[in-house]
Amino acid sequence: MKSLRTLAFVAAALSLAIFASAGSTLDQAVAADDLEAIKAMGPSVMPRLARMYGAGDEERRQRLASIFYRLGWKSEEAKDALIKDVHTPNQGLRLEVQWALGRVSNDASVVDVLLDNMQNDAQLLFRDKAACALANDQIHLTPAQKVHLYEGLIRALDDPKMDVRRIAALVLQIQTGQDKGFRFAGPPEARARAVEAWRQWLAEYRSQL
Amino acid sequence: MAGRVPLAALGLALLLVSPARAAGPTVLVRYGFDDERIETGPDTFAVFRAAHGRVGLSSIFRRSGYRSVEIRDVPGNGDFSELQGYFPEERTGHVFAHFALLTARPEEELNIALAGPQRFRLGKDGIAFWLATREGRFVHVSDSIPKKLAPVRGFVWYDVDVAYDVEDGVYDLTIHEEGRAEPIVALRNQPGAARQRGSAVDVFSFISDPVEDVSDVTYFVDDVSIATSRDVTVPPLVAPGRRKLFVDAFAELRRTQDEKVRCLPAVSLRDFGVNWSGPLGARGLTLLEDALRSGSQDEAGRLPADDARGRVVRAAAQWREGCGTLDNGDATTALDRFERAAASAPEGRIYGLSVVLALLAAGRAAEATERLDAIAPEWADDPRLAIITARLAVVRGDVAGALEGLRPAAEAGDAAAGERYYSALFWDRRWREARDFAITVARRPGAAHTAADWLERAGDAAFQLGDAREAREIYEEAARSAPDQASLFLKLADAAFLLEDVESERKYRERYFGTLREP
Repeated sequence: MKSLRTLAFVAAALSLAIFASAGSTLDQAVAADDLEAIKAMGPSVMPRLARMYGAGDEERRQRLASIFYRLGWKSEEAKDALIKDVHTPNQGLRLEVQWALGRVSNDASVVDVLLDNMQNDAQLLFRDKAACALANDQIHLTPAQKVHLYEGLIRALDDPKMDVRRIAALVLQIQTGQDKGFRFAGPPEARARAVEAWRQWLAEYRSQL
Repeated sequence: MAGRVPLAALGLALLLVSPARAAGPTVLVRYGFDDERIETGPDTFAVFRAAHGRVGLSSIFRRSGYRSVEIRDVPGNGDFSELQGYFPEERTGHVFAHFALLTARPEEELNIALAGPQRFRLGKDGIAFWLATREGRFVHVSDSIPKKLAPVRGFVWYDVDVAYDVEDGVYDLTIHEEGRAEPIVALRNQPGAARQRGSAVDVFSFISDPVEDVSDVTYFVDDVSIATSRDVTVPPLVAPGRRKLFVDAFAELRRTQDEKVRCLPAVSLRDFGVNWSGPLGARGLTLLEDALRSGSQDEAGRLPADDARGRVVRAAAQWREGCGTLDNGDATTALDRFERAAASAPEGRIYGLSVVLALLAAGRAAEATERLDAIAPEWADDPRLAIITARLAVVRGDVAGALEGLRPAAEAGDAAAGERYYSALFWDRRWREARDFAITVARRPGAAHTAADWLERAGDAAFQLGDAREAREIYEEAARSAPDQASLFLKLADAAFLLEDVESERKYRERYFGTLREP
């Protein structure tokens, strides 16, 4: 019995040591921005990276957001951690978070928050980079979620701000390779015709789901 | 061999084309993967083998003959297995594609595309035709919409035929399932992947899932053929996988770059008419820097209207904008911007020099010469004057004069003049002098960081002299300091080919284009 307890203790101590060593290895890989080392640990590191993100200062969070972006692994924990910073005024952190969100999730709430930033953020830079994220980084979206994204973008084509119309049209063009004749600075009636063409296209897209 | 690849479907597709257009067909590429025609290269195909994946010959399943290509991927490796093939660019007529496909795992995603020079993105000259399997069904992306087709069964061959009308940007798609007489898919007049008229094609791809990296697919491809309705001559392969030696392809590219007129760099504030930074002040310098980066005259607008620095900043922005348009081949607009800059800040000497460049680019050599004569005194010994003078001399056919003008600056170590001097020698077929000059530059003290480039140039000249052995030695020396420079090991493949060293030729070529053979 005694020897069994001793064995259990040794096993527990060993597993603690292994856990501590893995943690410190991950810490070191993050500190060194060693993506290959993190990749080698596999997607199971994502919850731990998300916890590290939550406990880090802004500089560390920015580094981790960049790591999330480059890993491109889906993780609910990472999405929940990142989305808390999606309105931060810290420019570097905000941009990394906006870019990373679509690469760790396929959540409609991420699309919504990026659409909102694209249309309503006070800073042009953040609006512009939210559009970049919507254009290039929504890699996990299902076809049904893409409909949600396109709906938001087509709605933004009617935005009173010209720069919002411009970037929304650009995102649609990057996503689909088409513009349906929409010109962001064109006369309202011509824009309305193009928006109607986009709506018809979306209806067909939806019918294929 | 030719009869082994089923072309009946292509013939049928041709019947759909109006007689006036059906001058062909010409088979552009055809692979059954049974004979020795499996050499990778820029005019055949490339193989990208993902970590733990596979792209290689297989005799387990085949549609015809005794081999097919197996494409296997694993999820989460950050890489994608792909067979990517090349054929002459088609901008008109109809393009017919045929291939056979068998998947071992119908629920796993795979993608097949025909695309153009913009490669695998949606848009003009990007993807024209895109077939995939998603969740156990065939899907084709038409009008940017993934549209569901018939279910896919495992371990069953499918014959796929596409007849793509390039000008109208639409295609007919037929898929036959092995053992069934009627097609499981028979679509006519479908909008292309991104509904683009006149979207060219010159590449096909068989890949797993290139975005999400979650596919665990294993599939087999056989009997790939691409034909055009046009009656065209397809040049023969001159070496394994290529219709042109790599050395010649790179030379053509460099000639295009050499002949393209570009702005010469500004090297000091004096180029913009500012003799020292004092008058500009920190704010003026920042605005000048911003204007040169963005080419936007808005920077000048951030100064009060009566601030004299605005004139300097505005002229610099116009010059930067002109350089951008010159780069894009619009010499007329560039000339306008340079003239405006020169008029508003005549003390900025780079503007006048750029006017000469724009005139040269516009083919107005006589005016360029006249303007150059007018500004030459203020440039004295500046190597940029020698470069432009040499360009004009070449236009006039006076290569000797160009070389004479460039030589002092080139021999004194000016990098731009040296490159121009070498090019003038090379294009004038003075390859011995070009080789010797390149070797001299490569061996100069302190030239270590550019030695590989200069040795490569020396190798090119040696190659043109017909001395493949010397070219190989020089390329090998260059490759020791730049082991990952693709142009070097592709040229080494050419040298090995000419020296009949089959093994080395294959080793160097396959380092870039991959192989269907087992490593």
